[in-house]
Amino acid sequence: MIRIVNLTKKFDSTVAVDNLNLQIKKGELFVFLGPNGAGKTTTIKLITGLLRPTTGKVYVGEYDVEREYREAKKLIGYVSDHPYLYEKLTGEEFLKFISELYGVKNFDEKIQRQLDSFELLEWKDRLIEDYSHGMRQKLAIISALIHDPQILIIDEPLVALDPKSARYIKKLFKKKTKEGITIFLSTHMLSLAEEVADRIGIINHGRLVFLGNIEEIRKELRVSTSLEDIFLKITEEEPKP
Amino acid sequence: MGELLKIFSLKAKTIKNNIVHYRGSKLKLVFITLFVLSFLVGLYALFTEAFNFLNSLPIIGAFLMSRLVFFLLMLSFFILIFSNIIVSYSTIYSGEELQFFFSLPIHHRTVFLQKLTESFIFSSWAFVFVWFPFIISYGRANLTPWYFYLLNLCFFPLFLLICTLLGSIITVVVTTIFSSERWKFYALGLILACIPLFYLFYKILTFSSWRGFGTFGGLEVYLFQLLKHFRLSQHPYLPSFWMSKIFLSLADGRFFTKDNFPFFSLLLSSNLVILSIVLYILVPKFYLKGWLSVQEGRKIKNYPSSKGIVNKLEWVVQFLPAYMRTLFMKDIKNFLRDPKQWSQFLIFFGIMWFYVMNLRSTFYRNLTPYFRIITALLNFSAIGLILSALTTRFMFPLFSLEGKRIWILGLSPIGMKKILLEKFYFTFFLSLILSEPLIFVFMKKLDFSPFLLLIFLGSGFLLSFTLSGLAIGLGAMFPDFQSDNPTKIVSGFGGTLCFILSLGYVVGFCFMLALPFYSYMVERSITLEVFRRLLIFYMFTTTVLSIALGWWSLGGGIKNLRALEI
Repeated sequence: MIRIVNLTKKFDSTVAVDNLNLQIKKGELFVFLGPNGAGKTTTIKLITGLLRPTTGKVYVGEYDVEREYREAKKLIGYVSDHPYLYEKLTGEEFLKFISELYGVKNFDEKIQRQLDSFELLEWKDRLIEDYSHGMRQKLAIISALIHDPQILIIDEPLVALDPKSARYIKKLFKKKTKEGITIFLSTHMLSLAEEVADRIGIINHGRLVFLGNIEEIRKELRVSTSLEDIFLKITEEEPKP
Repeated sequence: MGELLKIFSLKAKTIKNNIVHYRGSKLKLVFITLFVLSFLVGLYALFTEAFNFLNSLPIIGAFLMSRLVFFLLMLSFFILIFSNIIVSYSTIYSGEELQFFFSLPIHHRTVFLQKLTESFIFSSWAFVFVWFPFIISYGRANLTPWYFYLLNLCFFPLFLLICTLLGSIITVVVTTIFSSERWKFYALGLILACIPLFYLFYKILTFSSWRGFGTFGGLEVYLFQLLKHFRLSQHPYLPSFWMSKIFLSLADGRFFTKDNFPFFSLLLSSNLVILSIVLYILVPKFYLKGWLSVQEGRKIKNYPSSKGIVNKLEWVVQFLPAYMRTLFMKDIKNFLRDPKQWSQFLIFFGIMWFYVMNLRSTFYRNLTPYFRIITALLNFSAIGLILSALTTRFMFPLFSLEGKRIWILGLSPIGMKKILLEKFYFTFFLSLILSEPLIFVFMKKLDFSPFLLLIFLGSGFLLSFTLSGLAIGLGAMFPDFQSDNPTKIVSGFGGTLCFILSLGYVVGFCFMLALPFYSYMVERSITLEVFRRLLIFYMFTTTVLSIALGWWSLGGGIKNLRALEI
């Protein structure tokens, strides 16, 4: 569903993504891990067409993101690490706008259902400027799901969410992948990766340093410790005590 | 088109919600409405006065009035192009909303059109505010037919659109060429836009017949000679010329005469269509690429603490207490590392310096004392007005810009009072080094006595003190810690109040400064000795009033900060 071929992104002399090759299947939940400044967000922006590759290609579905960006974007639901929401709109008005843009049919009922499942129904008529950080994140996730995308890309999905909402989101991700939706998550939360990932990619200094599931990592490194130890070992950035 | 309508409908909803769920102070609304209304009425009165004066001049009155229309429209045209370049770059190429739009399957032409509309509104509203009273007073002074108002309402938007399209075409082309080097864009755009303005400025400064003005001869003769130097406004390729022709033929009621309304209205409309086609061709080819390049062009720069002039400045301010030195260096680094801030600052004072340095002392020394003092007072007022705009635009937001980091300062052992005073000293110091040399130079060029030099320098000192006090004090009284955008902070209630108070203070100050000169030189009601005493009395009064106003504002700021819950 997502195919990344020899992808490199340079900013002047800085190489943010270095010859990345990756293929993510339909219905797979892929978690992208990496230390700060490793190139995770740059990779996501390249997949969503918000940046151009220096070399290489990104395909979403059958579309080349650079050339057929509108078709590619129709397949994607994207939540950035700082979601853009209109402060002076109500939650419902914002979701209606997104639904209309994507041409969602009978969206009213769908919006009510989604707001209800994310416990935002009571807040639907209030201005977004009154929402808490967690509520904004929930609203951004609903807006990414409202048009039933084939691919969901989320940068730091659980940021600011309370434990109950976090659990709901994790369940939702699993349900969505069973329905055939491909999910690409970028996170620092190793516990989330351990819990939900079908496959994990670890990126460091723009290079993909590991790709596989947790068992494969353990096998390769011959360790039986937690993902945190594995992650620190791979990225070699264990902080000094 | 459907996508564009959906975005417009979204924007309309946000505006509606802004009005319906308005949470600001009602006092602010009343204050701003009154200010806007008095501004419009004041302008109307000013234009009416000017038109009545011109109408009273036999033979040349009507001619001068028409030339005034050509000149003002040409000036507006260049200013609009300039503001459109600046505004369209910031709306069409930068901003978080664009990231959001481009993550959605919206065609980039739709995004461009929506942002172009925003750019049109942002860059044209001030023009509408000035031209609205102009048209009404012109119409009333010249007893124009009713359709003069109606058709101007149709053609002025076309003229504004031409400026917006030209400005955005320049922006798209320049950004495409220099997209990865943003500073080059700023520099080139600025130079291109400033060339006509500098040309005009040069023409005014090098006006040969200035010599002798105010010493002999009639005003009309000089006005004619001055107008000869603005022949550019009569250039038939300028859209402002076409608009002037439409305006004047509507005012005359000469609808279907040769070379008038039908020809120029068609010329204006057809050019608008051509520019739209040019943009329609350019946008699909260059807009998305340009936007992506701008996103990628943000360079990561190193600022080693041991290098650079700014860091050397720390050595210069060693005499300051440690906390003040640290805060001073932080403020100056934040200011200098934001090109949007210092570039605008530079434009303001750059133009003033350019003007003052071009004052010809030999010419001014030949003027009568009356005209010399008028020139000095006008120069002083101009410096005061620019200073008030600068302190409001750049210094008022200083405290708010601490933003969500305010707790860092709040928890430090320095105390809010000292932090506020540091910002005040910083602003006061900057205001002094900007205004005093300017005052000194123009007073020297005008060859005034040391006594008057001292009076004007002292007045500059007081202006700097009070304007800094107002900006910093009101900035702390009405902080907005939620916004990182200084322009947005300034546009709030506190910023508006600061601007109005600063403006009122400068006008009042200059008026008081002019009074003794008026009594002595125009009314001739007092002797030189009384005049000198009156000036000293003036200095004393304005000193007391200025310090009181500055201190009131700072005191209010300190009081508010002490009560602040971080």
